[in-house]
Amino acid sequence: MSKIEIKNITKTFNDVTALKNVNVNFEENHIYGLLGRNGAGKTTLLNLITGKMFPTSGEILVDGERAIENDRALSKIYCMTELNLYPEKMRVKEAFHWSAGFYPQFDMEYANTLCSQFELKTNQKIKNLSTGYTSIFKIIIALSCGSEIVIFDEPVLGLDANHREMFYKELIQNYSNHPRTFILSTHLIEEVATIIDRVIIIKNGEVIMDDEVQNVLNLGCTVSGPAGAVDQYIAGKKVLGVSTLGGLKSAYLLGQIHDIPNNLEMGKLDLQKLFIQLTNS
Amino acid sequence: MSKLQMKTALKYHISDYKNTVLIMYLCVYLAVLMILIFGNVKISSSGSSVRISTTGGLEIASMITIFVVGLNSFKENFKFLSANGMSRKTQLCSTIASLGILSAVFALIDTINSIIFTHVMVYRPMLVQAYGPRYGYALNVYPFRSPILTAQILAEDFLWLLCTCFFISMIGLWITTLFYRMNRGMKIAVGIAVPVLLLNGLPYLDELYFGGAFLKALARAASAAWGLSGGYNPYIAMLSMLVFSGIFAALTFLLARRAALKK
Repeated sequence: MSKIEIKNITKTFNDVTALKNVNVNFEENHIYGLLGRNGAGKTTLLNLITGKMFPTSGEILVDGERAIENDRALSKIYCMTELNLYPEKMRVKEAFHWSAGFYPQFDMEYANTLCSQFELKTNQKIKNLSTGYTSIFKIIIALSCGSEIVIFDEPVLGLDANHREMFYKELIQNYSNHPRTFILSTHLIEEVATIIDRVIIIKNGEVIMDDEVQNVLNLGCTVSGPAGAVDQYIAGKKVLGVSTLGGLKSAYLLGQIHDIPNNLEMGKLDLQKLFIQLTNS
Repeated sequence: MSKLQMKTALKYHISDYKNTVLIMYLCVYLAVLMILIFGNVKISSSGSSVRISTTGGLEIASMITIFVVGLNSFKENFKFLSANGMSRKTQLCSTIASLGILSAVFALIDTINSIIFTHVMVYRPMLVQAYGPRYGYALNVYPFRSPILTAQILAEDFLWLLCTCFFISMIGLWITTLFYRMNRGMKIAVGIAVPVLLLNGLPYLDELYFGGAFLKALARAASAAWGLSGGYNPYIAMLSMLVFSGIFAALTFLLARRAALKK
C-alpha cells in the first residue's frame, strides 16, 4: 500500500502562483475527491505528483521516497490525465499491451471485460475515438493498471449519464476488490459525493479543506419545508444557499442546528453547496 | 533506473522504428532495381563490355532516416512514457539506447547491402568513397569498377556507419529537444536566424574580419576530426563522432531533465 506526502509545495508560472505552500497527504486505501474551481490548481498538483512538471519549491514523497525523477516512486502511481498522452496512431489494444509492459499488475482480462461493457472496440485507433470514448479508454487503463495509487483527472469528460453511472459503479467495485488510493479530480461534485470518503478543496492554489466527507457534511445541515417557515427559521443563521421549488424551500446551513420546528425537515448538508460557498470569493 | 521500464521502453521504441526501417529499405531496393534496369548501361568497347554508370553511397538513405527518427524521438515519446510513470532520465536512456540499436541495425544492413550491391552493379560504399586511398581504391580510374570488399573494409564500414548513424541521430534528438523547450517565438527566431547566420552571416563576417581564414580553419579541423587529413583513418572519425555523440547526448539530457509536459 502506498501513500503520498506533499510538503510545502509551491508552483509558479512566471508571475502566476498556481500553488502556494500546499501541504497535504494522500493516505492509503481512501477515495479522495480533489475539488476546486477552474484554475484552482488541481491539475497542477496532480502534474507535480506524477512528475510531469517540477515544483518551484517543496517536496513530494511517495512511501517516504522523493518522487521527483524517481522511477520506483512514479511507477506506483497511474494518472489518467485530461489530456491524451498516448500516440494518436496507437490502437486501443496496443495501448493495453504497452500498459501491461510498464505496469506488471495490469489486468488484461479485466481491461477487455471493461471494453465489452463500455462497448469500446480495441482495434480502433486512439485518434479516431470520440471525446467520450477517449475518456473511457483512459478510464479502462486506469482501472486495470493495478497501481497502488490511481489518479483520475476529470475522468468523465464527454461521458453520457449511462457511462458515468457505469464508471462510478465500476470504481466502487474495483475499490472493493482491490482497496488502494484513488484520487478523483472533478467538477461534478454531486456525482462523486457518495463515492469519495475524503475531500480536499483547493482555492486559488491553497488547500482550504482536507477532511473526511462525513466530517465535512457534519459541519451543517439542510433544512426544508414551506418557504415562509424556512425563511423564518434561517434568519440570523449562516446560510450557504437556498433552493426553491414551488412553495417549498431548502436552505443549506452551516453550524449545529437545534430546536427545529415540527413543520421543517432536517437533512444532511449538500457537499456541492458547501463547495460553492467555500470557493466563492 | 527501473530495468523493467527500461526494457519495455526499449521494446516500444524498437517497435516504433520497425515500419520506418522497412519502408526505407523498400525504397532503397526499389531504387537499386531501377538503377539495375535503367541505369546500369553496358557498351561494347574493343570487344569487352564496360559499365559506364556507377552508384554509391546509398547509406545516405539510412543517415537521413535516422536523422528524421532522431527528430521524432522526443515529444510523442515524452508524453507517452511520462503517462506510464517513467522518469526523464530513464526515458532518455531508453531513447539513446534504442537509437544506438537502430544505428547498429542500419550499419549491419548497409554493410550487407554493400556486399550485394558490389556484386550486381558498380557500387561504392560511402566509406570507400571517403577513405578510398586507405583501401588502395581510386575513384576516378576508368573503367569504373566496384571495390573488392575485404574483411577489413567490411568491419570498418560497419563500425564507421554505426558511429555515423548514431552521431546523426543524436543531432536530431538534440534539435527536437531544444525546439521542445523553446516557446513559439524562439522557435521561429532560431529556425530563421541559425540558417541565415550559418549560410550568410558567418561567411560574410569571416571574409570581412579574417579574410576567410576562420572557415578554412574550421574545414581543416573537420577534416582532421574525420580522419581525412594526414592519412585516411576512419577510426579518428569514429572516435570524433562518438565524442560528439556524447556531447549532444549530454546537451539533450540538460534540456530534457527539467522539461515539463506541454499541452
